[in-house]
Amino acid sequence: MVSVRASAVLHSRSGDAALLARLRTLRGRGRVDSVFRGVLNLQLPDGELVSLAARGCENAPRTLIVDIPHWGGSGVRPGEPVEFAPGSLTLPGGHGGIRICLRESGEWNPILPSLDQLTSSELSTAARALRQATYAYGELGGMLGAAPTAAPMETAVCAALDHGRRRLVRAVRSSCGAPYRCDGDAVTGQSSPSGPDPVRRGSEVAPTATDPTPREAAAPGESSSPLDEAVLALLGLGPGLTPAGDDFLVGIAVLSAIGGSRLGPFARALDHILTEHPCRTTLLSTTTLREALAGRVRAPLVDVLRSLTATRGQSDAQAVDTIRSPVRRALAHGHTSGADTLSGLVTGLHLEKELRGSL
Amino acid sequence: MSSTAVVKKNTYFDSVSLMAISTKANGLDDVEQAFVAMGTEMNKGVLANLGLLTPELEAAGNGDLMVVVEAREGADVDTVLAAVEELLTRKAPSAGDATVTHRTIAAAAQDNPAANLAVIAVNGAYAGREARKALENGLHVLLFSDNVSVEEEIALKQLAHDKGLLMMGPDCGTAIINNVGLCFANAVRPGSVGIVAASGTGSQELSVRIHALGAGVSQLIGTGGRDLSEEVGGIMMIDGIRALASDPTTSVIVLVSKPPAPSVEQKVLAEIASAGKPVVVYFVGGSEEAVVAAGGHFATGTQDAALQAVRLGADPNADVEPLDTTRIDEVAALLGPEQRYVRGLFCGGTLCDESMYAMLDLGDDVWSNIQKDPARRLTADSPSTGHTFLDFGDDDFTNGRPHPMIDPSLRLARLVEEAKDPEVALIVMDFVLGFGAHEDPVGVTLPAVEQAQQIAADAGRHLEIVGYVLGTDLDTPALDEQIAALKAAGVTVTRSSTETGQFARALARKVTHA
Repeated sequence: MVSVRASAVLHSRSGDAALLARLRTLRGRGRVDSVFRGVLNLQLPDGELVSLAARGCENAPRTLIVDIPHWGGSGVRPGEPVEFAPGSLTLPGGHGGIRICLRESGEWNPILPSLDQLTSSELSTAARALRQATYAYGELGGMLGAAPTAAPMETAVCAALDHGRRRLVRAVRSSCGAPYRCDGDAVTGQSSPSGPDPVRRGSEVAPTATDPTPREAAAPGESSSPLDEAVLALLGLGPGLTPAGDDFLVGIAVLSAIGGSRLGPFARALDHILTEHPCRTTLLSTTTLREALAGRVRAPLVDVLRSLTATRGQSDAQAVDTIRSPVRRALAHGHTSGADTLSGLVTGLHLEKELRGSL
Repeated sequence: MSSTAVVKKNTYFDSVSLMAISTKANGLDDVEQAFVAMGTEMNKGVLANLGLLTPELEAAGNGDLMVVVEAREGADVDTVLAAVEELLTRKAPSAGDATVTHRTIAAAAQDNPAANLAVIAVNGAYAGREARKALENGLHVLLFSDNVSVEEEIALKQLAHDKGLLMMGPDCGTAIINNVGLCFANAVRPGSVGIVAASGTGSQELSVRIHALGAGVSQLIGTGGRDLSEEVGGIMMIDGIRALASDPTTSVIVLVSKPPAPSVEQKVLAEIASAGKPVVVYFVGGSEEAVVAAGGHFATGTQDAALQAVRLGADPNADVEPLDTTRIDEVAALLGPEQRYVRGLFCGGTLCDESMYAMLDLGDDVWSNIQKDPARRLTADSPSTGHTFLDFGDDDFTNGRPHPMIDPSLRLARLVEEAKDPEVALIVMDFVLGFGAHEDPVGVTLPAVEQAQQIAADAGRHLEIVGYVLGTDLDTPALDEQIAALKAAGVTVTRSSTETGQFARALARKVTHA
């Protein structure tokens, strides 16, 4: 049976296995980055971001689930120091600090399924079902488009997101299937001769009032591909701590990390942009995108991906039924974050299907 | 119309809060529109295209919060901005702030005169002392802690009996008192079935089966696992029967326990004759003759106990669907000639017991860490042999570790090990939802399930995995989602603990006689 210890000692119930392995030997001083009711974000001594989520939150990369109902009233404040010692960490709140023990923590490993067994036609079915379920159960806003009652500025953001999505799709179609060279700082994409018309930098879509021109698109002296610019047009776009454009990119990024994916050029472009433009979005979002590129996403998204593989051989209606529960769980994340990420998965699945045909 | 902007340096809101603030700001009387967003380049780009990017906003960093407000014609911009600022600074009330910590049970009892029950979960060395203090302060006790001596347990139960109080435990993990679940319990509807249980997961299973049949639970009184031992003599179970006998909302009583000591079984059965209400008895492996002779209703399993209780107390027409054997035939056809054994990996002791007893119908080649037959008893370190059923919640596995309902790591490792055995046909597992349990018992197991399936597939074998999710539609995480996740992973899902045992027995019988 579990024994209850002093109130200033909490236990991690489960956590990202890779993070736990690191924390078991880490020693040093970090800091509290931000404090929310459900999650504390901490910076490790090297500045990397990790999260302490309250009981009831889902497992996620770089996250420990701590046996506490919520962080309200914990007294922990942003900027305060966090002491890391092998097997535990100590927060500044409470009387004499709150010690989080890792000894009893279960280990969570995000293991992505393979999509190889799905035929092109089954990928299409999965994408259609996912889109249908996302719109059926998700709230409008972000990548799903503005609600009719949305304020003009929110509508403008949604329009820019939609524009960004279309631009990214064109750029991926053009870039994938063609040699993609990455030599040091210079990244160059060439359009496939057999694919659609090449997208020329800055000229593929006429600027509109809702088409924000990417800022800092390329560092001086550095060439930038259409795919780079398409990524930049979405990165950091949207109001939240993980902007909607970033959540959308997470969806495609995690697909690109699945073995055998044809989205490699996209992954390399995103990786390049995150490296070259580290201040383009929030630290939390950058961290989440990096993890997605490595195939590490929140548990509900892993469940959605697993359920998609189970739609093999099913009709559209059966497929929607198969994925309904995990989709609803994934949609529960953030305001529109869940829907934005699932939108990225939908787009990624369609692209994956198209690119299979192009090879 | 005029616009104004504020940048809040290094200010973070989660997206739900941010949207709530934005929605409220847009609903303010003098606001034409308001926009609250992180100061990323792309968000500044949108504002620039709308002609709203001021130098101050231009200087915002991606960790800063931008607040842009367009006030209605004639409105005072400063007043509007102050109203928006108030929305930003008005933090959501924190439930944690309302928590009061008491340093002693006496102080807590004094501060809360309406409280009449204490839940105690401290180191076993101090548990008896704290329980005694609670009883002396007039509180019923649920004692979660174990490692309390049997002498102390007897003394505490005798003290509670003398004071007319309940002494649930030590080592009591489940109770539902006046519709409040304590420790490991499930969310079930209130109703007329009262339960007294010396078995934690057994009582959880009973309560969820009763709920699934459309009825509800009046009280679920835990006794602690040692109550029906020769030494303790069933003090709490007898007091529990008497409490439910006098409870007007209880119309039928169910008793559930692992096998009791024979002398105690007699004492408890003698009590049911005077209860004045129907009493259903499920003692795992118990004797029908003794129960019927005492005027009780004998149950063959948890599902049968729930069904009889509901028929007696709420719905005479209640029924359950029989085991569908189609899947068993399908699985048998996939198995190789060597594959003939079942391996049960359980969190719940009674769930393990129930499946193990089902298998004992087929013969003696059934091994377990909770086997009554010492010759077929395994330890945590023993390799599996024949049909093996392991209760990972037993002391042998939990020594120094959390219960497997919280920390599943040992069970996951064993699942992968069992998959390597070419003689294994079926692995049976339970997944317990509810208060106190793991937040996603299925999710945390799926990677190991996938690994086990892969190991078998690589060896050219089909490995059947059967899972039973103990929970209700009111539990968190959602029962249907946990079941769907298992099915999506290719796991066959059973509908009750009883059906789990029936499935294992039917498949083992089929492959043995094939």
